[in-house]
Amino acid sequence: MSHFTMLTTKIRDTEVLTRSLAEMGYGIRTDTNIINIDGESVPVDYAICALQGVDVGFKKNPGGYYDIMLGWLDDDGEEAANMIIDELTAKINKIQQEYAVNMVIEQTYKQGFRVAEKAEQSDGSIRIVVRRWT
Amino acid sequence: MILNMAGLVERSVVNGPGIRAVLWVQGCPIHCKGCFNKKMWPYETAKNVGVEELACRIAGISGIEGVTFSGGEPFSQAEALAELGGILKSRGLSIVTFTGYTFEEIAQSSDIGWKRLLDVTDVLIAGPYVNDDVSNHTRLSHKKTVFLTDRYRIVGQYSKGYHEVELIIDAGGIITITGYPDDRLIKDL
Repeated sequence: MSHFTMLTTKIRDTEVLTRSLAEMGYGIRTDTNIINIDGESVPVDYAICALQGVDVGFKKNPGGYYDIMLGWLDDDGEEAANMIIDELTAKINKIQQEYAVNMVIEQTYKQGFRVAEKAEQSDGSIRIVVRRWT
Repeated sequence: MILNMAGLVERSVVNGPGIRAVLWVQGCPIHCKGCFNKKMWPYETAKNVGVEELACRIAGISGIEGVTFSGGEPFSQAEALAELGGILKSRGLSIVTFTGYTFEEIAQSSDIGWKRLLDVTDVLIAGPYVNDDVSNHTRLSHKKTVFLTDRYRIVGQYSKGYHEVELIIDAGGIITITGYPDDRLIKDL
């Protein structure tokens, strides 16, 4: 039978994470602090300015995966905060997608596969077909 | 009629000729050694869906030339898949069916459902999965491709000399993997 698996991306590879962020045009701060949503300054391994005045931090947890932390949102009312959270969520999703794409290409390359097709689909997903000659 | 569905990918290019929808069914009695879809062995409810509803959904996917039935064991749900295949063929789509049974076992069976599924299938990929090569290069060589209609007889899609893996990464980073990946790839992602 043809294989079928669905995986949720967990970010653990530092090099692929930072490369993905750089390719998306983010400036990356390392070993820095962000103001979290409770208004506290917390240390993170990497931080980016995801929206004007709003940081997103990446901090490796004991399991070896990066937790994604949202920065402080100005108190401009619930409606404004919800809009910012929606926008941030979309950006974080995009970061996870970019990381997954780079991880897929890197890991399949290591196993002798080469990309035969890579295309963004109308629903925003990215299809990658890799091929290995036998 | 109800079909117990384990998964559906709307567009795939590594599961038969052209761009195809791929339907995985739940439940398999064969239990091939090294099977990479073991979660689809148990005869338990994954997702029950009406055949006509599913046919409507698949027929509404733009740009596909057919549907591939995989699993699990498609012949365990032969009646429902035969009905689904019949509806989709009447819409011009082609049918590729994977099975862990040999072609001879299916052809010689008196099971009416099996015969009906065979009747709507254009290409049958038959035989147990045998994972006896750690390099993964010959995993499909034990499968027999049977062209049951003329639709793909000349194309010979399954003698490519390479194998492919398809990865669809959604806007949130969820990766759907199909085709023939190494086990190691799944672990490394």
